[in-house]
Amino acid sequence: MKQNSSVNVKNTLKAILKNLGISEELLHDEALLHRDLQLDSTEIVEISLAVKRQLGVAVKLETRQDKTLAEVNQAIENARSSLV
Amino acid sequence: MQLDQQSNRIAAIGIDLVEIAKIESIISRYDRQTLTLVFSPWELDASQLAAVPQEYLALCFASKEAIGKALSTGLAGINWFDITARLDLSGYLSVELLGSARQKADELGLQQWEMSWFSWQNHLLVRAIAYQ
Repeated sequence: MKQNSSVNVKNTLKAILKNLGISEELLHDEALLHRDLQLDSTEIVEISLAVKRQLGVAVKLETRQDKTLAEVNQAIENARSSLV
Repeated sequence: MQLDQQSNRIAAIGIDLVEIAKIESIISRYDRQTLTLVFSPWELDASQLAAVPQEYLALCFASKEAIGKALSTGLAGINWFDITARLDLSGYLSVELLGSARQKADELGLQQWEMSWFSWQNHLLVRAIAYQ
C-alpha cells in the first residue's frame, strides 16, 4: 500500500514537472530543481500549488540548498503521512 | 510610513524581478483556496479591487521574494502568506510581516522596511530595504 502511494507521488510530481515544460529525460531522482531543471521561483511555487491541489498537502520547497527530485518526493511523502 | 533615516541605518537589501505573465498564468489555473498557500487573504481580496489583478499579485509575489532575500535566507523556513504586501492608490508599497517572517526579521534586528517598485515590458521589479 505504501509502495503504491510512493509511486503515485512520484508519478504526480513527474506529471507536474512535464506540465511545466520539463523534458521527461531530465526527470531522474538526483536531478536538482535549480541547477539541473533550471526552475525559477515562480515555477517552484507552481509545483507547491499543484501538489496541494492534486495531493492535498502543503509542501514548502524553498530551501537554502537545491533539492533533488528524490528529496521533493520525500517531502511530499512526509507531509502526507503527517495527515494520517 | 516616514523613515527617520538619521537614526536608522540600512541593514539589508533584497531585489526581485518577476514576469507578470507567469503570475497571471498561475492565478488563472488555481482557485482561491490553493492560492492561499502563497498569497494572504488580504492580498487576494485587494487584487480583486485592483485595475489589473495579475499585476497586483505579481507585485505581492516580487515583494515576498525581495523580503526573503533581504532576510538572507530567501523564503526557506518562511511561509509565503506571512508576508503581506499592500499597495495604496498613490502607488505606495508597504509590507507587513507576521509569524515566521516577523520572527526572522526580529532575529536580525530589522525594524522598518522601505519598499519601491517599477514596471516595464510585462515585468515588475521590487526593492526592499531593511533598516535597523
